[in-house]
Amino acid sequence: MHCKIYCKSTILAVLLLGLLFIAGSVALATSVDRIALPNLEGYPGETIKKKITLEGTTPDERSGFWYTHYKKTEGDNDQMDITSWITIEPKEYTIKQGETKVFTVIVKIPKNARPGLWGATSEEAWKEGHSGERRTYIVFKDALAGGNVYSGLLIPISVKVLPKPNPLAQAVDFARQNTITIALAVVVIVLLVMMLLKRKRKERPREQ
Amino acid sequence: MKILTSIGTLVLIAALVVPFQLASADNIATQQASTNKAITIHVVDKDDDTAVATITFPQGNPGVTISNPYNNVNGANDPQVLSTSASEPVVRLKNTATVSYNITLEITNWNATHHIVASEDYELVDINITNVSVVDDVLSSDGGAAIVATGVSIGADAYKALYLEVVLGTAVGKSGSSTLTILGETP
Repeated sequence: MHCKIYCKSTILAVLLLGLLFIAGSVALATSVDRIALPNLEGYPGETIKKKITLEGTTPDERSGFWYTHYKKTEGDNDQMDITSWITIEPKEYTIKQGETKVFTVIVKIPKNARPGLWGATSEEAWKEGHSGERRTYIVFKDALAGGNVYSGLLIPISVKVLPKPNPLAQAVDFARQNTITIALAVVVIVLLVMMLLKRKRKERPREQ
Repeated sequence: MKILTSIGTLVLIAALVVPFQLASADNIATQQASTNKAITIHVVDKDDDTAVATITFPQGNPGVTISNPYNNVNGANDPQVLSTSASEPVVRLKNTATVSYNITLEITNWNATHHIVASEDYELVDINITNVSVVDDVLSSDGGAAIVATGVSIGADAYKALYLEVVLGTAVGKSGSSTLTILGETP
């Protein structure tokens, strides 16, 4: 009787231990905190920097790297491939369970870039159901040590190049946004001038 | 008159300097939202969820089709099987994310030093399909580097079965390597 209970307990313990080991060997991979970097705004010649984080979820260390990809599509114009604008630092990484690693995506907008959307055909491209509108991607992929089978994610990226700011337009904008302040300042100045003029008029007869 | 003008000036200056403050009632409602995690696709063996590190194509004569690759977990004795009734993939792809992914396959050049592989094909199917006897979706038509959007999507917490096949090139007594990448993209 005692043996039966003992044997059953032992078998149960072995099974539970086995389950633990099976759970330990379950394959996991790498997670990322952004599924897209859409519509980044900048002026020609400007550099945009964005952070992106990977998290390791596998007990075994994985080695990988970042790169860029252009999904060539018939009818594309020269605004769709912006892979040459983009670098990711650091490029290579190793990661294991519980580790997070932060990377910087650096986008250097050329000085001669025309205003408009670059790297995608629409500002909605990053949303679900719009994969056909994506063209430029940043990609990360990694594999177990010594492996030749990688796993990764395609992360769409696009840039909204803004028209170069016009100094005159800035002044007009400032005036529009501060209409009341400017009007009050004008009134104050006029009143001060009137006061000064009156004082001068009063002082003249005394001088004569 | 002088006093009035001075008072008027002071009032206007005060209006310029003192910022307008609008009375607002405290009515704060907390809102919460969260998004699903994006995790890469897991490349696992045939039977359970053990991670696969390598896929190997057995040696063969130049020009021959090799359709029995194996992974490092199941081993050479349990390779891919093409069959009209009991096919078995070389690996399975498991999506543990709570979002679905469109799958893109990418391989690096087989022929950096020698003409090892003339072409590589794939099939990506549901895991309950066991009548895969032909592998003919083109991954690389010349053994060179390629990236192919498969048009296949893996749903959240679902699997797909991957079959691979190469036609060996003209090189004799040589070996080469290529990396295979499973890329996910939100639909």
